[in-house]
Amino acid sequence: MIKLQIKETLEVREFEKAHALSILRLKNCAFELPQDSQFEFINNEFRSKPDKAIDIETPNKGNSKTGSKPRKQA
Amino acid sequence: MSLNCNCPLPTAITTITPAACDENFGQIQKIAIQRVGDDFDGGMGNTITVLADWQTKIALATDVKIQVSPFIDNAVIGAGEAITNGGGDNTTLNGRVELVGINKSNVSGMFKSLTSAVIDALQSYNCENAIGVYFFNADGKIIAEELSTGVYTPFPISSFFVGDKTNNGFATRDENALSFQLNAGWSKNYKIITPAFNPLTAI
Repeated sequence: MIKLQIKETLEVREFEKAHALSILRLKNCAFELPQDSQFEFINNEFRSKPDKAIDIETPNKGNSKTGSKPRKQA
Repeated sequence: MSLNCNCPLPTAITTITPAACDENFGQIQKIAIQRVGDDFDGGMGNTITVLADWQTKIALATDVKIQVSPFIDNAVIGAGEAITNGGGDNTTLNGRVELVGINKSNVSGMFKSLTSAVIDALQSYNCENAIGVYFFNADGKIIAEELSTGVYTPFPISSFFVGDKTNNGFATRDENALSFQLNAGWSKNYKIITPAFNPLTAI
């Protein structure tokens, strides 16, 4: 299911993907994808929005689980 | 008395309340075609005056799908004529004209300059046996059958026909004739609706 919102009222409705696609392909379409949609409508098709860019500047918080644990003594 | 009449008759003839304003359709310029059985009931997501609700149905691939026609020139709705027996002869009592029914109303029009793809799509409706139409007039109003207060359906039609292209030579536009029939009594429950959009251009 895909959520579309009515441009004028911002009312959100859910549609089957094929139905939503047909709606957005109409001329003078009254609907659009909401801002928070995981999809974008490009060249008459749905595409998943690209993942957010990895922030390489953020320092490691040290919560990595890598590394060996001390062995328990038998 | 027509065969379509209720029996017994009401206790008095029906009162006619004078209308405050005249009412005319004006020029019908487009029709919207849908299989019968669906309606706009005025509920959330199903309101005849809302563009989004029309587009939701237009985009469907089910029985509920609506398709708006190209512009229609010279659209005319004729009156269904009385079906009678006898008159001035020995076949009826005192030679009266005996009213036995009402014919369906013929609707005709003309599409102009259509492409083969559009003709093909329109002629596919010649095979539909349970479709109805909404009318869109020149003022951008929708004319529908009102089933009950606020519930609208297309007018059921029969014998939908779009003919082949006709060509009349130099400086003329090719034409495809349109015709269909409305049920007898179709205009008893019509409603002229003003939508929040112009159906001639928006859909």
